[in-house]
Amino acid sequence: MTAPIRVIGVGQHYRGDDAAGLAVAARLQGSAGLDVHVGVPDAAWLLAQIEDQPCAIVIDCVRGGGAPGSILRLDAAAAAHLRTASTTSHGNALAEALALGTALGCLPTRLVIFGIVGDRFALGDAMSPAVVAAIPALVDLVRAEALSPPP
Amino acid sequence: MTVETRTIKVDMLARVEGEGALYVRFRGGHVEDVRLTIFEPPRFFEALLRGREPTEAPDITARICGICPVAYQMSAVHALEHAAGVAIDGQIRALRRLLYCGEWIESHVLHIYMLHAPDFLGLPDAVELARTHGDVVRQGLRMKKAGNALIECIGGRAVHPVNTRVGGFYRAPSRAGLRALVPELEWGRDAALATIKFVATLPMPDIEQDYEFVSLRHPDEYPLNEGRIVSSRGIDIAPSEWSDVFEEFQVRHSNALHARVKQRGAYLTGPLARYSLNFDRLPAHIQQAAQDAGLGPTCRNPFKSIIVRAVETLYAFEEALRIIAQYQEPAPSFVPVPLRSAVGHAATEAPRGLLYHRYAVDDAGLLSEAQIVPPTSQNQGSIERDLWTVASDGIGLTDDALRARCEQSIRNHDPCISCATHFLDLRVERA
Repeated sequence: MTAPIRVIGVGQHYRGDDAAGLAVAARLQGSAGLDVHVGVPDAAWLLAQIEDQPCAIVIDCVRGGGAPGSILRLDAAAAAHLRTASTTSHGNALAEALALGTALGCLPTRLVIFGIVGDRFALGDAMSPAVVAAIPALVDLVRAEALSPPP
Repeated sequence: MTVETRTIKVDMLARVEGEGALYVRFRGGHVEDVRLTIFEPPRFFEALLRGREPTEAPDITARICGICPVAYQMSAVHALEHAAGVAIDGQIRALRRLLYCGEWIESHVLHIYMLHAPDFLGLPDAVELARTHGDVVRQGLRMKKAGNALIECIGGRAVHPVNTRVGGFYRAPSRAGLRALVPELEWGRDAALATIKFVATLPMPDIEQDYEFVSLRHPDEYPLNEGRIVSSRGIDIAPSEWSDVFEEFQVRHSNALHARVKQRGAYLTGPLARYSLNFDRLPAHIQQAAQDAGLGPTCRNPFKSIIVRAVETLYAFEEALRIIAQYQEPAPSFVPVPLRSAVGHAATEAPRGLLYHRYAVDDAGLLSEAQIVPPTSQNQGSIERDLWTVASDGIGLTDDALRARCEQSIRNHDPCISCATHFLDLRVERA
């Protein structure tokens, strides 16, 4: 039996579109073949979720890279170029976790990052309509990615 | 004749929790001004608690910080239980202490390995430390994970746990669930001892500060949740007397209130204070480990706080193992705490230091007042004094070297700007 694929939704509920990763993960909870986790942006926590996994999928909101609601798919090499655009005082979890994991050589063999381009990140904002509208498509993409055979 | 001036600024301090800045100004070869500026806007937690049910306070105040939510929950529940005249003992008390051990582990280890150690090795951040000292960082991440697992087992999740309630816990963790953590905690205990040995090898600037240390002190235990508030200059009060002895005040350059001993001035809470005021409450073999690492019973060198944190991390692992060995599931998992027309106070020991809460409950049983005094707020005055010393001693350094030394001296106290209201960024002016 194949081990479930680790899926991690990252974000903050109270920062507008930054909640998108959490919203996608919530919809994926209970899906067959997926081991879904959610968390606030914390590099050490995130690295602990993905380290030494054969495959992991991370979903986070990104700033830039297209119109709000656009979906980006990055592999670990592409994600290494992510720059910090933190809305939290505790740093940029994803970029730091990837840098740490690369330095320690413990990133998953297959790591895919889905980014959904956000528009609003202020405290108390709701998610923007474009991001909300894109969530079902991203849920489907994550499921398809998890089912696809390794390259 | 012109007087040379020099300004050093750090506009955005890194590797601290929150957002703030530092400004140092020299004139004629002397430090003229030092300001630790917390510019992040106030967060109004005390105001938004008014009119809420007291039972909401632990979960609302936990949101003040993602690193030390347990501290906020613990100070909140103890203050409200104090208001009701309810004392918690037995396994619920032990479970709270165990939960706090988890937070000390994850918070101290995060600071030691990810935030502070790079300073001593001249490295820019934890990523570079991972490149040069991979095994060290791996060890730290695994230790942090053990602390997080403890919080998750008791609190339901590692960040902003949800299982704490006034009177106890919504549900007691199973004995089997906690015992499953033992092997990793035993590994962590050994790793903590190795951590003490590692940080003891780091180069330490030789600075001693004349702090007034303030911490809890308990008759039998190294303090976490309970005790009297004591100081190295004779304060010995119940937490309910906090405002008789201490006061908060505003400074123009910080959005976080400072605090001082009335008619006396700045003081320091946190690991240095706790350790120095409670060395005799540590088990003998941990005292020995501290002494082997070069610490005496009192430590006034702020840079050595990294060693003290490692000592406290060892204590937290050992205390966690002791409590788990004796744990029996409490039934029920909480006691009733009726609240009407009362005022309650509590102070507990957050990883960064004393965290004081005071709540007033009105006739309708709702919160009418809340006062929260985080450790970083209380430490701002002492941090500025440290900076004054470090800048004076380092006047011959280049701006970059002095900037790095000043940032390091701020990180000595692991400031949580998010808690204090939020802060950090450094400017040095040489005029």
